[in-house]
Amino acid sequence: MNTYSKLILFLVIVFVWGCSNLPLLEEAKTSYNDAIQDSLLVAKAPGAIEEAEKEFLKINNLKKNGASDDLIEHHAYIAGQKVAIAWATAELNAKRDEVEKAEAERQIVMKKYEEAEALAAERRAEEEKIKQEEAQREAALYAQRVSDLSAEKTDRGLVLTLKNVVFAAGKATLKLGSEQHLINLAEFLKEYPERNVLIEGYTDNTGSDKVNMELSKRRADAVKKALISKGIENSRIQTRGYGEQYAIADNSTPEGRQMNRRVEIVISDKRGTLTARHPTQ
Amino acid sequence: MKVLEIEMNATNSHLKRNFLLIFTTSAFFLASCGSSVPVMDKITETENIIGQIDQAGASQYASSEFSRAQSKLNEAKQLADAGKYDQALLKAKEAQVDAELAEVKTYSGKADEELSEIQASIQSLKDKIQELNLER
Repeated sequence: MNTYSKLILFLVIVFVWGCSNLPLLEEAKTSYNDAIQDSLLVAKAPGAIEEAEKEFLKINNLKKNGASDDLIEHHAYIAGQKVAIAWATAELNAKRDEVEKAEAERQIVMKKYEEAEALAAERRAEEEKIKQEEAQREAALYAQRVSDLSAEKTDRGLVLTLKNVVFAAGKATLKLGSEQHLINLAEFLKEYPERNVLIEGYTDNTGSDKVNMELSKRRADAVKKALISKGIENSRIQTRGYGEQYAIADNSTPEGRQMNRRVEIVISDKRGTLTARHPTQ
Repeated sequence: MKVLEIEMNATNSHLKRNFLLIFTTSAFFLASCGSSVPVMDKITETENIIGQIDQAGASQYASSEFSRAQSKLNEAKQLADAGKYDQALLKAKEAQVDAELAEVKTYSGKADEELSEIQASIQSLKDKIQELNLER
């Protein structure tokens, strides 16, 4: 075949193709031919491909019997849509496979999450237990230290009465022998730096109220000075003088008066808050 | 006897005339319009499919195929109303394959969504696992 006749043949084909008044049929044939090239597609959507084939058989019979173009195009349309359904079905099946795989992965990850959550819960419970034990130990230690100091729980809080930090009548000088008690208190305050103290001075009923008020304040200040000298910050210590008020013993006997000449130390709560006997003085 | 015969003949010819009328009417009906029964069956069938895929979200996942199926079904109904049963049947069949294609694409779209939901859930679980491990 020479070049010239090849060209003629090509033109004839183009002409026939272009003039075909069955565009849907051409389209359906093309897509069907593409579809059956894909063995995976035929395997995944055999039903739709078979239905398309049946339509093509019908078209052949209709052509033989000289059916109208419109009827042939109708069957071609159906065939083309069946091929499209085959493609879409294959795509859907592939997606469903992916969904299934993803779901299986999700189950695995879910299990891992549940395991991690269980471990974390165990860990949190363990930490909480340790924390509680520590708090209990601290509370027990504190109780021990308080009892070492011989402090008493009152409605003002912990109150330590320094019975041996006693004063000579009319004096604000600390007697010897009170040293060890103050060392213990200073150590306690160093151990619990969040706690502050209120030092309250008291007198017996000898002398005027005014003098006793001043004297009691000086007694409290003397204790404060002693604590500062043992390393406790000034800001943690408040002082008050109550004079002869709030006697704890009978002032008519020398022993009673001796007991009333005293200093009481109120220890604050954990937040450093103190409760005084009176709003202010 | 003669009288009776004549009477019988008259009755026969009357019956024959009636039969002829019924036969011609039916023949005319069948020949010109085809039967309405298969068309109406096909229309109902396609309507059911369209209703089902509409509920499955076809207008969202396969909007062009879905609206094509709907408009072809409407054309089929109009043709059937006009008595053009042959053409109506063809349109109804086309509407049905369009609806079938829309159905498959709808499920495909839903599978896409399902897949991304699962993947998001996996990612969120992995993030949570990492958070739990960082707690240590």
